[in-house]
Amino acid sequence: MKHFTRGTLLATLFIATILASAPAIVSAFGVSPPYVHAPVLRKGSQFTSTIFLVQGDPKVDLRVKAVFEVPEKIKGWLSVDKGSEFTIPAGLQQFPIKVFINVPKDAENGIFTGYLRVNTLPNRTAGEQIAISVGARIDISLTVGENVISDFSIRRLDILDIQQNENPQVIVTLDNTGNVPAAPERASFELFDKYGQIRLGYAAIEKFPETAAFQSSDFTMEFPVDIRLSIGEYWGDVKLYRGKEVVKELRTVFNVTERKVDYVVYGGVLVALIAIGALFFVVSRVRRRTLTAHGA
Amino acid sequence: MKRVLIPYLVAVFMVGALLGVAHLAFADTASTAVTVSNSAPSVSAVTTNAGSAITLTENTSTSVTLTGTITDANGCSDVITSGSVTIALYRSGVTSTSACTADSNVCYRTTTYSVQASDTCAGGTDTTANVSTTLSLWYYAEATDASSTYPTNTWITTITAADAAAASGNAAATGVELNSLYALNVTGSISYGSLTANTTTGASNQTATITNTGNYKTDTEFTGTDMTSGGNTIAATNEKYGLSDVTYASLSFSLSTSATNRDTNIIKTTTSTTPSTQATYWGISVPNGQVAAAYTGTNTFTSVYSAN
Repeated sequence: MKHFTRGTLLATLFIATILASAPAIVSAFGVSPPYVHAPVLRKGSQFTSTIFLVQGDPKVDLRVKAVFEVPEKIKGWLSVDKGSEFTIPAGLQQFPIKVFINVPKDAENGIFTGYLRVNTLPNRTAGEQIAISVGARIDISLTVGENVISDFSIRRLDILDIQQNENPQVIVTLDNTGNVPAAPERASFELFDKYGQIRLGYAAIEKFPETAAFQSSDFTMEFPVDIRLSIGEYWGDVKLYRGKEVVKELRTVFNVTERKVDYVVYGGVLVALIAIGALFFVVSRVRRRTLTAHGA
Repeated sequence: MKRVLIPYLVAVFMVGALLGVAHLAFADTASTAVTVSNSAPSVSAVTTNAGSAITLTENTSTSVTLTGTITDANGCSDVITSGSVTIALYRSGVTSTSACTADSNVCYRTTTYSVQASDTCAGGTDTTANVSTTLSLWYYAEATDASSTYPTNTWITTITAADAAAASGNAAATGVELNSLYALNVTGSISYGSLTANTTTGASNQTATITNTGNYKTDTEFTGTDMTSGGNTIAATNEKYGLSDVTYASLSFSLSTSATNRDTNIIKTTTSTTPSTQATYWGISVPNGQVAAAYTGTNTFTSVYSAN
């Protein structure tokens, strides 16, 4: 017992010494990614880039100032969604800001570079002679030209679980990295049994919503395989095409679950029908009485 | 006598016929047997960080979620209950398979995972389960974006499922970028104390230590404001700084009100226990005739790309 108590005391003193001697972190700050690159802009383009301002230990609210250092001719093109001064709340390790680039329709072609400086505005403690501020420099590089660039990537492809008698559905997240609206040209879906061995059906579609240049969008594809699927597990193999090229493929399992009756909808319809029937009954009775009174 | 016997004979005959038919119907049996062979599990729909680029946080670790679907024709329990799942997240240039050695710069591995509510392993004839895990990537994990040293690489997740018979299958997710992180922290203070006019701090420098808390080698930009007290000013250029602890006269640089890039060359650390730092030393000269007052200013340290 005596030995344990002495060991504990020594360990406590050691830890206290270490903690006491560790220098206080005055300021800590970072940025990721540290750039905005827009190499394929055209006149009239709208481009958005998300940058994260990061702090490993955000104990207090942090005031920040964001200033563009770019050629005068493009200053009006650039803005930050949070404005030029904003506060990062305490506790938030990754704080996203959006940098917007709006290229005017009459902009001249060219390559433009500069910086977005994001500096912290420190709270000065009493008696502090030099306040230390930390900052981040985000490199900006824009190219405005005439080239039409059509390109996209598929960030997410997922076969959804469906209910009985529904067609297979696939959700897509598309990132348009080109400077014109884009969409896949074709998508196909092969349906297999729960072991992925027996092909049960096939469908292809060629109509998709377009995603604007430099934007991302989510949309759901439905494949009319014309098979009533019963409850269970199935394999699906979905492919997205650009021309003959398969830009993304996914083969995985999905579930068909019991079809749920929407009691709210059916109940509402039933009540409505009863109300209409009752109304007709009342109206017909009133009309009959009226006719009878006139006849009398 | 004959008439009495005939019914009995007919009854015996009928019973005998019935027994004969029964013998024909139930007499033949056959033994059957089948061996269900083991099927290797398969993995599909593997994702890394929901398909988005990975963004790290300075000076700490960041959680990244990895998911996938395990399928086993003998039942998912053959993997989830009786087998194992290994998940690896690694920079593609390090290895082309999931057999990378754990290294917080380039490869993270785990056998810990959870089964997702979207598709649990119910046992019996249930053949699939959705699994996920979260790995904590350190701030110095190597970037793969266009500004990094490895712009043609990505970070790939591979999930390997093994069943009770040690048969296995695996699949990899499409690679995602791990973004560059430029970050720093500054420790220490710059407080020159009380000085008379027409003097300098001499050899008594203030120390501010910069630590690279990102994942790329960086230089540092320095900028500062003039020190002021009401309408009185000490120009920023009266402050000098350097990377060596020398007298004021020998300090390398004068502070500017415009951001100035200095070659601090603070490398990226490779472990969480050995930070990469650069000390800076600060002094000031108080001009002759300077009004006696308490002056204050702000100095800014900015982490920037290092070209060399």
